[in-house]
Amino acid sequence: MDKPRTSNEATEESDVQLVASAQGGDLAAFDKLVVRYRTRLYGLVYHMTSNNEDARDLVQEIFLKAFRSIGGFRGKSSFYTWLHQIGVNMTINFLKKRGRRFQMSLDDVDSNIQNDKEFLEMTASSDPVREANLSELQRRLNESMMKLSLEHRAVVTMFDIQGLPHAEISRVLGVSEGTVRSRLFYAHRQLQNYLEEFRK
Amino acid sequence: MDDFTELQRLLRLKRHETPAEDFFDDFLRDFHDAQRAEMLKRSVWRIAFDRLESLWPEMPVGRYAYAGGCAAALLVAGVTSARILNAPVTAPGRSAGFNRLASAAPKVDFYASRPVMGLAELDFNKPGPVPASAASRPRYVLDSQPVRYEQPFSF
Repeated sequence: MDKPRTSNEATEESDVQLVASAQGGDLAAFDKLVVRYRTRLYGLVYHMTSNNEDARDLVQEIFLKAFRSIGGFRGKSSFYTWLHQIGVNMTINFLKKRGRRFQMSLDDVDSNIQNDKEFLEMTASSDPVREANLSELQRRLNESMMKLSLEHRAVVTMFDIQGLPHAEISRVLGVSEGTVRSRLFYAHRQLQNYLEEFRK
Repeated sequence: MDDFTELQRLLRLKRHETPAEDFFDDFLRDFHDAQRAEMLKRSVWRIAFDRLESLWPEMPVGRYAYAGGCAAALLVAGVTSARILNAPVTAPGRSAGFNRLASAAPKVDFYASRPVMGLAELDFNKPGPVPASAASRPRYVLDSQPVRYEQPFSF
């Protein structure tokens, strides 16, 4: 399991060093990048596909494509932004090809959620969410996400779930920040409407 | 005003949706297998295409955009060629370029230096020009055998 990077890991090689080594043919350097970013990349792909098997296969493909193209990476953006771009594009292409034929295969919610401040606030308050079964809520939210268009689902995944800022999302998608904000607003409204049906 | 606070809190909770602990156990090994398999089966054309694509890695250009670009370039070349070939000509059967060349060349009358002879002026009984010497007499050889002048039939 990947451990989160801490200040103690400052002696580890930076992305710039690893990318330079990988471009020089050092396969082990690229392996380190794979281990470093596979979990985050998996999160992006999983929340767009809602299928963990598809997400795993796609992440493999994304890293393969990154490996093939590493020679052309010029460092204009961070390595993870570049990897993110490849990931979003390949995931969108995969979902377009798959069409509407899909089956949700959801990851379990890990035990850390019990310590999540927002989760505690939500379940403690007199809110309909408090009485809802968490897995049912998870399923409903994923269903609602699948109803969004691919472009709207991507911005919600990156902003709300992964916590990327608008500027970073605009670089990944190659659109303006204004477009990112308007897509987010539309997506939030759509999700709100879908979930309202669940609450009734 | 739309309030998405609660929705966004729900969405943030999705960060806790994670795979099982052993989900990535064989990930690197599987990645290496896929790397090797791909390097073994990649064709020369595929490698060349990937190298070309890597020149623009940060542009989300689809694979078929390159084919589309080549097709567009071929179309432009075809249209341009057709327009050149179908350009209007100033002389029938000749292109304007040809006419420019023809007008630039000096006009030579090939028939001006030779006297025009009518049929009445031809005298078949007049012996033809006698070669200066037997050595200069033309010799005609057919099938590596000298031509023999046979006596005409007499009835």
